[in-house]
Amino acid sequence: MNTATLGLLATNPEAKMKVLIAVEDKEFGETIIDYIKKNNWNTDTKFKILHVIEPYELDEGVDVTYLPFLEDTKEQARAAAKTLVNSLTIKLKDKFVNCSIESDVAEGNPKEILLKEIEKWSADLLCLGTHGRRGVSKFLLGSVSQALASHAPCAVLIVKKST
Amino acid sequence: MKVIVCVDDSEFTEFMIQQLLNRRWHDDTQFKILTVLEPISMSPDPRMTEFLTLKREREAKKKLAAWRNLLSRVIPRSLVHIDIRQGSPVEEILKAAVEWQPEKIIMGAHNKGICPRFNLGSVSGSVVKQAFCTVEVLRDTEKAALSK
Repeated sequence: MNTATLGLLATNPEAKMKVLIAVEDKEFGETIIDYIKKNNWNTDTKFKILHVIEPYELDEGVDVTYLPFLEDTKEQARAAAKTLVNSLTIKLKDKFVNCSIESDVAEGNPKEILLKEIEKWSADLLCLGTHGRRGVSKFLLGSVSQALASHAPCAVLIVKKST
Repeated sequence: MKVIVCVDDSEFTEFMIQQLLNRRWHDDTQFKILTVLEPISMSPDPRMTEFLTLKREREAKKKLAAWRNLLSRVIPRSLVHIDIRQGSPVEEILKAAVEWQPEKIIMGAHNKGICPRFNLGSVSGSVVKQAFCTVEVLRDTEKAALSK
């Protein structure tokens, strides 16, 4: 590297950034939103808050009479997810009034859905928490976070709860 | 805000610095540009090892000073430190984080392998898992796209 190389580097204030925020639950969602709010972002940054509902897996031989109950549970999960992403969107809008902030709820395998969304939405940065329900320690990275940190075709910000 | 930026001697560092320059930072942001030089064990002659170690350290100092000057010049009122360490990259990065207490560690997931998209890099992967603070892993998305 020489000074000529350095001369080529210059700020690009027009660089638009699309930030996909994957939230799993209220606690970790708020941690991520608080972290994002602590940072400065260009006014044309676009944020998208996404929650993925994982499908319920029925064990073989389960009594089908439980199925209506399962449907109710799914509906409750959808309603809770919408409430979650809406409340986080409001929190983010408080700080970044001029930024475009959208939210969405999807259903399926979180890793697959998020990878697809990164491609579809052309995200530049994926923000996620360290772990959710499956985590056993704050020093261990959750399986979804770990897979996305390895596989995502964009930059990945892993927000730890302690920060 | 305190940010550790982990760099090495690859071309990817230039991409990382460009990414930092494109962002907005708080006025009081402090950066620590950190590089870790792994021990040289290739030479049987200890004098040659010492010579190569010192040469590499001088080159690293020069590069990091250039990055520091650029960041200080372009990001207003930022304070940029440089830190050159010897040892295991993962251990030294984690140690630096404990000592300096940054809000974030930024590092690259550039890969020298044949399939860059599916490889986080062993150093980045270990730091992501073990660091107490937030970690951002940068990728050169154009190169990642080519590897699909």
